[in-house]
Amino acid sequence: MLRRRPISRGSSSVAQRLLAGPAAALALTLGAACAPAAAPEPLAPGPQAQPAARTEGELVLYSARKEDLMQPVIDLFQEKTGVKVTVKSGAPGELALLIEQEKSSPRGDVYFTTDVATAESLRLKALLEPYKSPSAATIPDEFKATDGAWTGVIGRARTIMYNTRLLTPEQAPKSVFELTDARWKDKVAVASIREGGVRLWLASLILQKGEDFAVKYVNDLKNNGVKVLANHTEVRKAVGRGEVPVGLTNHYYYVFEKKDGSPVDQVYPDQGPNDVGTLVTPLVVAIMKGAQHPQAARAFVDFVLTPEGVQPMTTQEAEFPLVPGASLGDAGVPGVKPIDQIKRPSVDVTALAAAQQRAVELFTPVLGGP
Amino acid sequence: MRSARQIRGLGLALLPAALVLAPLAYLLALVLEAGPGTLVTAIGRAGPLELLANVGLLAAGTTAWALLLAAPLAWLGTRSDLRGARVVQWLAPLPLAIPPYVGAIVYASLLAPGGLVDTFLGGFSGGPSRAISGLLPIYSLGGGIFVLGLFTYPYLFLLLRAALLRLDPALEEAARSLGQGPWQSFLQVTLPAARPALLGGGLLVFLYAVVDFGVVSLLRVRTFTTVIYNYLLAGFSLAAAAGLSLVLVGIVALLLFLQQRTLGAGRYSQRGTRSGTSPRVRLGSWRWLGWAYLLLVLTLSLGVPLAVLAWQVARLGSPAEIAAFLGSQFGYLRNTLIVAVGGTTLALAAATALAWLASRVAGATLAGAFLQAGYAIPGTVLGLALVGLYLRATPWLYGTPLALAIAYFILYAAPAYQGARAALAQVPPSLEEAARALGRSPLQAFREVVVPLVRPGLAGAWLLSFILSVRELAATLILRPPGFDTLAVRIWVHMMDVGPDPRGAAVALLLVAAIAVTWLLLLIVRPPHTPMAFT
Repeated sequence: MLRRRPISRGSSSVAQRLLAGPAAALALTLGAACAPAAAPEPLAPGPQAQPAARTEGELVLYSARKEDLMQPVIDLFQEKTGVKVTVKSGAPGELALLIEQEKSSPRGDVYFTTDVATAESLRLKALLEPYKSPSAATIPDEFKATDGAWTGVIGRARTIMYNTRLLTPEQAPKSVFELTDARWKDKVAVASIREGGVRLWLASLILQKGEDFAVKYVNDLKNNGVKVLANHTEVRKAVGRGEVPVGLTNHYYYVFEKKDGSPVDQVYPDQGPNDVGTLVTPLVVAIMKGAQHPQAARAFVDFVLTPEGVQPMTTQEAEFPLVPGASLGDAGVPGVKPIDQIKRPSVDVTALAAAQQRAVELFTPVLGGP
Repeated sequence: MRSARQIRGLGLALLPAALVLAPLAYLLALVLEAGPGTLVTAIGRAGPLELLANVGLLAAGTTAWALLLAAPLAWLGTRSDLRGARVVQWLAPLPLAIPPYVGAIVYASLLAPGGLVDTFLGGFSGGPSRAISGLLPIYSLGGGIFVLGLFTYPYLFLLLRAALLRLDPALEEAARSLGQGPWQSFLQVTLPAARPALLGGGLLVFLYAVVDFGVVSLLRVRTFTTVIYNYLLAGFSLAAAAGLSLVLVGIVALLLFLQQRTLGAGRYSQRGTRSGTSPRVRLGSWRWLGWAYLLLVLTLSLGVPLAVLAWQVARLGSPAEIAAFLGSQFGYLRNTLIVAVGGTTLALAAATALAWLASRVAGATLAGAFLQAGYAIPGTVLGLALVGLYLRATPWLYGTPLALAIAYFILYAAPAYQGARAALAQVPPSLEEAARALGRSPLQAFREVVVPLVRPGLAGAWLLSFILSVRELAATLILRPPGFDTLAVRIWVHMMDVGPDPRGAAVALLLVAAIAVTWLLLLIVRPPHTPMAFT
């Protein structure tokens, strides 16, 4: 007769002991994972660091802007104030949703976004801390929230780029609304609706001219053979190569293409006395409500609104500062205008977010994004 | 009647499943809070029939293409006399190390209108060429199928190959001796024996295509995941995206259930020793076709991506500059390994426990099913749901790498569970019963009899989950602590908007290397496969 001789003692269940083995190995790894995360490349403040009085030593920046472009500004700020900046990059909408989910325990201090509609949506949900920086006093009202919840730093103009070998300046289109003419059949390229700039442009169209007009306009464009390319970089390259004579992009893509040596020029459309003007959208900075480092956050906002702070952004990307009279980094490249020389439509920023959503619904099937 | 032990076992089985159910419940709560109207409008606007058709086509096409790639390779390596079959064995699974979205970036840069191939051909014809990019549009459903299948065929290959190797040649010889031709013996013996591998591997690929986001978003294919992402980007409301995500989870749950039904009935464990090696088909002059096929598959899935990436990296500058840049990325490599190893090990531990319990404790199968549901949740949606959950339930956990590791656990417990079940299914229950009859407790029987036999299978399951975790991007973007970037995040940062970029390519190669090295380490420490011999 076989007698069962249990060898082990103890009464823990089978499953508990099953998990014990791997758990030991796991503990080591998770011990490391539980420890506060250290940033791999902390940038040490420079030798001239003079910590501003009563400013916290750290700042967490949620940035929707390409890291390459933010980094010089961050480096300058760190050198000047000694505040250590940690960056979390993400897409504008994602970061806004994250901020909303985090609202009971905010982890970020400053939100820098390329899409003003996301900042406005956060303001409407009372997730931003109003702050009116002294440096922002001269910025046109349309580029800052009335209560100071967000402030525009630099601007992007929605322009028409054309190939100078295919078109003379007289022949180039002067208005976005003439692109539906037969003259421009199969000759225009735009980026897909996945590009933020396109969404903002379509949203402002809806706000300025109404939804029916916008739908008709986009359909007319499509019937006129407009080429929808993946992004603005492809648009500028297509115009530069001469594949299409005309492209709709943000103004700094013209600067890049020009620097690449292509024969291109740009038009600020609809500048005539009876025209709506060229759309200018701001990149905005905002302080989050409940930020852990409010003093440092204000110092950062002040800094990026000064000529010194905005300089790296203008030189690198040729975006123009929104403070009138500030120097244009790329003033040497003809065709780029400073803010006070551009006639602009007025855009109701509060309605912009809803209009963007509507634009995505209406135009995604037509303008190529998935 | 359940013993106390059974109840305890079930309770423990439900624990990891609860971890997966929690974010699902949170999403459901969001949807209910927003009202059913939101969900209905969201689904209606998305064009559900067109979406389902698209997803179905994408997944079916990917599976067919992957099968087309994997099956001949598996057959060539195990049943033909092609020299260099060992080469097949080592190289064919390697494309798993290349994240499919990196593959998409590579092929898009090649085949996009005005891309590398066009420019190259244009050099000959003297003007912009559209010959190839017009013929092979990469920004299309076909492009999506091509890339997805190309980088997921190794799943099918590995499973098919294992099944073919395991099959006792005596069975095939017996069929032949009974008068069946080679084709009939294939249909009646080989094919049924390979059915679990075909169905399991096929489902893995099918599911991957359904939940993928990176490739379809880059190649602009309209599927569930991209529509969900658009709602997040433009809508600023999590509720609509949450609703659509739950629909996606439902679809995946249905597929997993179907798999359960088709596989559950048959018994696939094998008794007895393998008598000798399988008969090898002599290819003769057909071997050139075999070689050509081999070369084509490996070029497309390994050669082209690695070459394009290496060419991009070469543009970084001198070897010293490249080395310096790579050195600066090691912190991110460390971060990636910490969260991926942590999450994957958690997943495997829970998956193995549940798989083992599945046949012994009533209800554990259901827990196993819940565990797999996490695979379907889109990364961004899961990330945002977890943020909300963490801050409500365990605020101290949020902002640590462990929070991210748990997300990986939730996402990738499914492949670990599938692998663990497959591994455990190979062990005849009579082995454990024999050990129990000789006086061992259930845990001892498991440890002394089952574990040595399933270790290779479990290692494979761990590796699958690890590979998926290492390349995860969407949830990582949300949940990572500020400053704690992983390699996948760095690839995204460099390639934002502009496509192939020398630094992004360098980080991508680093990622591929990290996976390849881990793979090698696992192969080295893996114990030799022991034959199941007993009388």
